[in-house]
Amino acid sequence: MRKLGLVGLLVTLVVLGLVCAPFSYAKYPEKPITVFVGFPAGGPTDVIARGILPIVQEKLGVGIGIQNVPGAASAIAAKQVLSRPADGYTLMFGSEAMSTWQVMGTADMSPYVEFVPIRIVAEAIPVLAVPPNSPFKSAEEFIKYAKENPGKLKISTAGPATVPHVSGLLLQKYLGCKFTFVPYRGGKPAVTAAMGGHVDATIEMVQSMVEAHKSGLIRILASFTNEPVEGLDVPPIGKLFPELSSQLPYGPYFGLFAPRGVPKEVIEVLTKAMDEAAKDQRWLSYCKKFFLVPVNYSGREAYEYVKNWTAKCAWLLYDTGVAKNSPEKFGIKRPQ
Amino acid sequence: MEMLLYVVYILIGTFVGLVMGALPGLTVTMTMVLVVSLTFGWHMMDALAFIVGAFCGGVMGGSIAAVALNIPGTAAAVATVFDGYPLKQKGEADTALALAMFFSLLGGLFGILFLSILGPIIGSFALKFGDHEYFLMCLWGLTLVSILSKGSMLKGLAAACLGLLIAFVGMDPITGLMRFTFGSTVLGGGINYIVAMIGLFGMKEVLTQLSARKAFKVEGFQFHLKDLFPKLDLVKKVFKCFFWSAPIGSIIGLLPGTGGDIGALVAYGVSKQMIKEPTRPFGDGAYEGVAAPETANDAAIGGAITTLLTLGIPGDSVTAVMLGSFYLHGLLPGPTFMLTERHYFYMILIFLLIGVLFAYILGILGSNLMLRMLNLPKWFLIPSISILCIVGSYALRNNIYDVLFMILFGLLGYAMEKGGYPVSPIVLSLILGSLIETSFRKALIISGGLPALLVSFFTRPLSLIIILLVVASYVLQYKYVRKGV
Repeated sequence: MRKLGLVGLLVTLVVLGLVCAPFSYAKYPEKPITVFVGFPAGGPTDVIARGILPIVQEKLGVGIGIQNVPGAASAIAAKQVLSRPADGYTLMFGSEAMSTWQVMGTADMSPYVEFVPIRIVAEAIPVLAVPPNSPFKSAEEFIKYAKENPGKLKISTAGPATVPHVSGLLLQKYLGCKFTFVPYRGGKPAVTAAMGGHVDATIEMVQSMVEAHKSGLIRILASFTNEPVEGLDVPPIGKLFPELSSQLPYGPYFGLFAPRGVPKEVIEVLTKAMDEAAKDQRWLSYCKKFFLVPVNYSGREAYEYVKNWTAKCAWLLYDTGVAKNSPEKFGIKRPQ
Repeated sequence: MEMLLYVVYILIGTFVGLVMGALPGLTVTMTMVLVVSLTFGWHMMDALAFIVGAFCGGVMGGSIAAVALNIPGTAAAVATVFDGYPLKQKGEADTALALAMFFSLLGGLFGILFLSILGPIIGSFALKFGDHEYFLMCLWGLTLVSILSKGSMLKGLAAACLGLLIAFVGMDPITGLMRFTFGSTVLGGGINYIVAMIGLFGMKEVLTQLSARKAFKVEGFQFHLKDLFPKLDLVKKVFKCFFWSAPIGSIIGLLPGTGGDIGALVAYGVSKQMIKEPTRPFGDGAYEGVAAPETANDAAIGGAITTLLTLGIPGDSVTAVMLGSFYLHGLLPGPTFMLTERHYFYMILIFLLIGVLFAYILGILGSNLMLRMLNLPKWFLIPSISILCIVGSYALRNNIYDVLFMILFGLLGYAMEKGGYPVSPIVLSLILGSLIETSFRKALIISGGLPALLVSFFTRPLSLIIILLVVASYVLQYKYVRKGV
């Protein structure tokens, strides 16, 4: 009976997937596509994937199933994608975590060598925030204190080598201050720690604390951008500290990746569908709601974008002693 | 009219949750993921009704499998196995299930009460809970090893240490570097404790039954639907553990990052220390050992939803998925949400209430079915359980290696049992191990060194309270032991 229930459920899901998506006219795609997400359901990467992929599904005319395979900074999902035939029916919705695999020793894979970035669809904006009862009212005060008291200020991050951590490292390198980083398991716990006053500050994506900021549970001091963020009343850190502006805006990227070896026609079909989906009003309003920056990189541009991003991040991690592997080992050249 | 439709959605959700929860490995979290992606295109309220129903049903379903199959259907039911299965072996499966479900209902109702009255007020209390407190709480949970050792403390400790070692495999949470992975990505994601749980309880059981010279005992006991309602005098006898288990469950559910599984373990441990004369020794089929964790894991639902709605922080992995579904429907829970979209809060309260009641009713019907199934012949039962174990461990992370690990854990569990080592301490230290490690290391970073950390355990009010509670529970127990002699 229980077994029947499970089989029934699977059958229902498959049937649903087929019914929702009438068979298409083009050669590719002619059956449902599986997209792997290397993070648990409900996480930032997953939420973004589920924001755009249903629209892509409409444009392609076949079902897109999202498969969450969390673990090892999405490297486990990537391994699974690579182990399947490169026919365009198994893809990966990836994020900047892919850029840290090699230097951090997670896995010897690269987002632009083993994978082809089809389209980078969004960037997120990290912000610096302090607990509501913090003495720091502005980013200038915060940095000034950090310079005078090296290592005394504790910043909670979403984990080692994540964007919040690297953003903090940027501050250290270009402003000449020193922090103590406290890595949490994901962005939400890091923000929670700051709300509870367990750390002096936190760096996290703006969407995970905008509600708390509005209600006074946390105070956002600055965004990691050169221009003010629409709908958010905080100064951009690039304006406050011009020496940082060359590195900004700094934030994670999210996009669809195919394993290398996927036929060119398939990439073209996917790129076109993604392009249309990215211009869709539903996606744009989705981005606005979550303070995501919709971007449009595909083909060569996407390749260069991911390559540069990886180089910037990898060298920063190596220079600050976080990563143990030299980026040179993997042929990643020092930027500029 | 609309309400009627919601009720139907809750009913279907509860049913789906119950079935999924009862299948080992298909956790409540997994159920929620499926349900959330299924309801993506729905109306927010319809989806919410379905999701809440699945949540309530899932927790209940996990307990049914724990008693009937000795495999916790979900992590939240792991503590129910400790006494639930011995009870089944004594031929009291129906009593155990009756107790489990009745106290689940009570716990669930308490959680809802907690959410509606105290929730909005003490939601921010969860924020005060820092790494120091998490560390102490989990360390307290780890003392359960003494109960789970069943006689040989040394062997119990050995098993617990093995569990802790396994918990270290994978990405180092503080430095992000790989450790104990032998260069393999397979181990990079660490070993999931639910995989270990399915192997150690479920697969081990299969191996034990296969190797038993005598075919496994036909449990030809007769049972009636009315046996699934607990006897009044029995409820009276064990009711006292409700008084601490329900608040423990709700408060632990309230804390970000900990859910019903840890709530149930702590409630079990506290009951063991508080109850001077259990109906039977704990771990040997004590009725309290079923009632306490069942109260706590259902009470945790209300707590976890409180934190989700009032602060926008998921209390556990299930509510994390729920948060994702809120996002998908364009809602951002949080303090301002509570002011502007208050009707959602009340709707969720009502949905929960209906969901908990449905879960009880469906649970009784489902248990009846489950118990009848146990009377099926072994040639049917053993392969079925094996298939469930394999499907469950694969479905967890869609990872074939997890199936391999599950079988390895089954072999390990079998070997350990032959050698007289208890297996539950491994699961216990796997669940608590990573939380103990990360919270200890973060507390070290935050206080800036070991001496400062030790001092801060006593200067932080909440951690001092926990220390006092631990000491008090030991002193009470000591007094009792002396009196008993």
